Amino acid sequence: MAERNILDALGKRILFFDGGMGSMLQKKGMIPGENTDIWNITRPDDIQDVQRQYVEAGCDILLANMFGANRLKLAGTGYTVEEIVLAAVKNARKAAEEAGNGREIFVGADVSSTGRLLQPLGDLPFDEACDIYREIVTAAEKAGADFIHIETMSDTLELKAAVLTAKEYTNLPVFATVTFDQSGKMLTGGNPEAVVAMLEGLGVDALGTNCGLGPYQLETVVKDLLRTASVPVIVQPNAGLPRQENGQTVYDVGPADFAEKMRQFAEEGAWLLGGCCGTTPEHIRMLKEACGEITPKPITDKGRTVVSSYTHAVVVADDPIIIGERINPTGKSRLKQALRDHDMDYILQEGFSQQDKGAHILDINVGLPEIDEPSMILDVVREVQSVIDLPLQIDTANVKAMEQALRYYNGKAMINSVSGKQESMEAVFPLVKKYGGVVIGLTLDESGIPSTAEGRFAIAEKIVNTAASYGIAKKDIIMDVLCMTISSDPQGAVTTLQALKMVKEKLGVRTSLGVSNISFGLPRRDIINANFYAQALAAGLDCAILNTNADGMLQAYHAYRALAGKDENCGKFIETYAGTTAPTAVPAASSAGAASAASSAAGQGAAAPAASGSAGAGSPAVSGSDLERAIVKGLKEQAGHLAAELVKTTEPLTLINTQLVPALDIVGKGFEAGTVFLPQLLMSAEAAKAAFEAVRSAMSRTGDASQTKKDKIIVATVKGDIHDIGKNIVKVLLENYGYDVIDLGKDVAPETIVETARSQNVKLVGLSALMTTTVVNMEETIRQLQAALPDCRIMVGGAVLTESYAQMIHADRYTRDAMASVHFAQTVLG
Amino acid sequence: MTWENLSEPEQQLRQEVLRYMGMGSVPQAEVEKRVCDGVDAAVAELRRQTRPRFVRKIYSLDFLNEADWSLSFGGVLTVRSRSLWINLRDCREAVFFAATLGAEADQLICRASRRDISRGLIMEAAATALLEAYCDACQMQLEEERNQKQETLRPRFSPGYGDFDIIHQKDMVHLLDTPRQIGMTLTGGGMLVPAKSVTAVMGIAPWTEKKTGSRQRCHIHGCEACGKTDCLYRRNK
Repeated sequence: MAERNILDALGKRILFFDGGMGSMLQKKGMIPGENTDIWNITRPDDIQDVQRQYVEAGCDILLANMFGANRLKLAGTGYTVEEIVLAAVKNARKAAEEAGNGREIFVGADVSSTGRLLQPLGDLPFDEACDIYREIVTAAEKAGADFIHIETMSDTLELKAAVLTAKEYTNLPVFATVTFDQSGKMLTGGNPEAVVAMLEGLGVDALGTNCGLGPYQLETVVKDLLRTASVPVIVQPNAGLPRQENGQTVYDVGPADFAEKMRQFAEEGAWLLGGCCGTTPEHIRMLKEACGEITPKPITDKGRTVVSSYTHAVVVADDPIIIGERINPTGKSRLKQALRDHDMDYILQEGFSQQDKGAHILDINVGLPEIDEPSMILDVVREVQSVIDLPLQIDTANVKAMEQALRYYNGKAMINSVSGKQESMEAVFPLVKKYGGVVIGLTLDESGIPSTAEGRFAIAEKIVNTAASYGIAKKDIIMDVLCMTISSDPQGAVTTLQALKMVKEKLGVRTSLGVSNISFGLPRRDIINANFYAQALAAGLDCAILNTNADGMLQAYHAYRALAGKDENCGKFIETYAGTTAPTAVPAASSAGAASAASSAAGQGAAAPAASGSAGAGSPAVSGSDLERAIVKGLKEQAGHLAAELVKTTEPLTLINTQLVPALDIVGKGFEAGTVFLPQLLMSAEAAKAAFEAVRSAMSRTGDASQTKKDKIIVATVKGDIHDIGKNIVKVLLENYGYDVIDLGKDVAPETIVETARSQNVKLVGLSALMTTTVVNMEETIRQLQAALPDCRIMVGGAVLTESYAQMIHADRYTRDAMASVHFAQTVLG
Repeated sequence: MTWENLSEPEQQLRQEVLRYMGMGSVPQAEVEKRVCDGVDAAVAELRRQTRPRFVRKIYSLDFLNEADWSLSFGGVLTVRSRSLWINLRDCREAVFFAATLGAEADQLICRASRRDISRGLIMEAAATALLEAYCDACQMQLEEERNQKQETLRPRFSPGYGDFDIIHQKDMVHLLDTPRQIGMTLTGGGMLVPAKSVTAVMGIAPWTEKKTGSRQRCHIHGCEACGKTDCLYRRNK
C-alpha cells in the first residue's frame, strides 16, 4: 500500500471516525472506573473486536484505544506509556487490516487530558504537561500512528500544551477537538471562536468538537466553528445527553436520528464526522450511509485577523480596537518602581482599570535595563492572565522574552512587533509561525523610517511578502505605519494618514498606531492626540495603542463609533456619557472626583459614591482626621485622594505614623473586641492601602519609595495547598503596617521558602495551610527553615490549625487571625 | 440543574454568606449596608458567571464487616468508616455525588481578591454559600426521585467528615469520572480543583415506618442541623 497520508484524503470525501469505545467495552465486562488502556495488552482481542465492528460499519479512521495512556493515569498499573501506546496502535492497525477489505483506514493516536488542571487554575505546571504529552506523542509516532488526535480537551492551556508538544516532537499531522457544554463554552470558559483562533495559530491540520453534547445541542457550536475556521472541521458528538437507568448510563439519540442531524453538519461544511460517548457501530454505519455521498464543501479562508484569550476572541474587523498601553514602563516612574519591586498588585490594578475603561487588548511591556526581561514578562503575563480575561499584546524587542511569553500565553496573542529589518523578521517570524499570533509590523528598516508614505508602504509590502515566505498569512499581520511628532516634522500626521490608507487599501492589511507619539514636544498633548486619533479612525485605523486614562481619546473613540454607524442606536455612547458634563475647563480636582464616582459605578462598591464629593482633591482644609475617618470607614478612593493631597505638605513617614497607623489601630482593636468584623477590617485595610499607594506614588516621583517600608516578611501557602484567601488577607494587613511582604503564592515548595528567606535575609515567615493533608508540608517547611535559618521566626495559620497543632509542628506562633499575625510581626520585628 | 432551580430565598443565602465571614451572630438589619451590598453583588455575579454542574452514580451497598466498619460500594470500592457505616445503616444503595461551581468561580474569587481583598473575602464566602445551596437543590431533586420509589435519601456525607478518610475523594473523582463529566479534578496533593467543589455519599434507604415512627425526611442541612438528636443514623455520634 502506498504511504498513507491522511492530509491527502481530506476534502476528497467526507471521512468517518469510529464511535464510542467505553460503552462497547462495558458490554465486554468493563468494571466502572477500570483502566481499559491496559486491555490493549491484557485483552487485545476485545479491543480489536470493537474496532473491527467500527471498520465493518464503514469508518475511515480508528482512534487507538489510548485515551488515558499518560503517565499520571497509568501510574501503578505496571505498564509504561510507550508499552500501552505501541499496543494500542498495533491493535487498531490489526483491526483495520483484518476488517478493512483493502480500504484505506487511518489510525489516529488518541491523546486526551492529563486529568489534572494546569496552573494557575490547578497545580500542574505547563512544562510538566508538555513532558507528559511528549512521552505519548513520541511513542505514537514510533508506533506508526498516522496522525495525532487530541480530543475531549476542556481547557485551552492544556490544549495548547498538547498541540505544541505534538508539533515539536513529531512530524505527524495534528488534529484537535474540544468539548463544550450547553452554554457553548469549554469547562474553563473558552468559546469556539477563541479555540479556533488559538488552534489555527498553532497550526493544527483539522479542529472541531467532540463529547459533552449530542448532535442537537451542538448545533450552535458547529455553526461557530464553521463560520470561523479556515481548516477542516471535525464533529464527534455523543449519542445525545446521558441519563442513568438502572445504574447504567444510557443515551437518547438513536443511530437514525444521529445520522440525520449529522448530515446537516456535513452539508454545512464539516469534513470529518464521527461519534463519541454512547455511539455504536450502528450509529457510524447509518452516519456513513447518510453522509457518504456528500461532496465536502470547499473551505474558504475566512481572512480573520483575530487574537484570543482563554475565554474569548477579539476580531480586528470594522470596529476599532483599543489596546491599553498602561503596562509599559516608558515614562511611568511608578510602574518602573513596581517592576523593580516585582509588585504584581500594582501591575494588576493597571490592568483592571484599563479593562474597566473599555480596553479590548492589554499591552504588556516590562522592558527595563536592570530587569531580567524574559523572566519578568513571563511572570507578568501569567499574573495578568490569572485574573484578567482580555487578550494580551506581547510587547518586547527581546526575542527571548517574546518567545517565553508566547509559549506560556493562554490563547493567541498579539505581538509587538516586527520591523522591516532583516534581523527582526528572521527573529520574529519563526516565533509567530510556531506559537501563532497577530504581529504588528513597523514600517521601518535598516535605513530608518521613510519620510514618505510610499517609502513606508514599500517596507510594509516587504514585511508582508517575507512573512508569506514563513507561511504567515497577511491576516496575521497588522501594519503600524508609525507616527512622527509634528513638532519636528510638520507633515508627520499627513504622511502617517496617507501611508495608513495606502497599506490598508493596496496591501489589504489591518492597521495599528501608537497614537500619542504624534504630539511629542507640544503643550496640551491631549488635544492633539485626541484629534489625531479621530482623524486616523476616519482614515480607517483599526487598532490604537492608547492611554485609557486619557478621556479625550475615549471620547474620540466613542464619538467615532457613533458617527460611523458602528454604535447601534448610539447605545454605548449614551451609556458612557449620559448624565456627564462637558469636560472643558473642568478643574483637575473635580475630574478626580468624577473618576472616583465612575470607578465606583464600575463596581468598586466598597466606596460610597456619596463620599467622593467631599473627597475632591480641591476641598479646602483637609485635615488628618478626615483621612483617619476615611480609613476607619473603609472609603478607599477618598482615602487615596486625601493622602495624595496631604503628602504634598506632610512628610510621608509622619503621615503614616500619625494618621494611617492610628486609624488602622482603631479598626484593628475593634476587630479584636468583636465590634468590627472581617469584611469591614479588610475594607479599612484597602482604604489604608490606597492611602499608602498615594504616598508611594508621590515618593517614586521624587526619589526613594522604599523608605516607607519596614522589614521583610515572607508569606506563602504551603506545598500541595492551593487555597490562598487567608494568606492574602494576612498579606494586606501586614503591608498596611508597613512591612515589606514577599508573597510567594500558593503551593510553594519548602526549598523555595528557605532559599528566599536566606537570600533576602528574612526574619519572619508566615505559612498557611487549609487542609490536614497539607499540614505535613507545613511541618516539613518549618523543619527545613529551622535547620537552615535558626534565627528566622515562623508563624502559622489556616483553617485546620490550632494552638496545639502549631506547637506540635514546632511553629513559633499560631496566629488565629490576620491581626494576630500583625502583632506577632511587631513583637519579632518591631 | 442550574441556578434557576435554586429556590433558596435571597435573605437566607445572604445570612449564610455573612455566617461564613464570621458575622453570623449579627442581626441582618444591623449589618452595615456596604457589607450587605457587597454580598448581594457577589452572589449576583456568581449566579451570572458560573455554570454549576453535578454528576452522580448509584452503587449497591454491602456492609462487609462491623468489626472494622468496612463497606463495599458496588464491589468497586471498599471504605472503612464507623461514622459512614452508621449514617448508611439500613441503606441498600448509595449515591456517589460530586458538584462544582466550575473554574469561573475560582477565577472570580481570584480576580476579586486581587482587586480588593474585602471583595475577595465576600466572593469566597458567597461562592461557598452558593455551592452549598446548589448541593441542597441537587439533593432535593434526588430525594424526589427516590421518594417515587418509596425510598428516602440520607444527608450527604463527604470524605473528610468524621472518620471517612478524605483520601476517598480520589476514588470518587475517579469513579464519577469528574474531570471529564464536570471538570472537577484533583491536584497532586489531593485537593479538589476547582476549589468550590464537593464530593459526597448519600445513602438510599427504604421508607421504614417502624424505626422512625413516621416517614421522616432527613434535614437538608445534615445531621448537625437536625433536631432529632436520637436518630439512629445520625452521623458523627
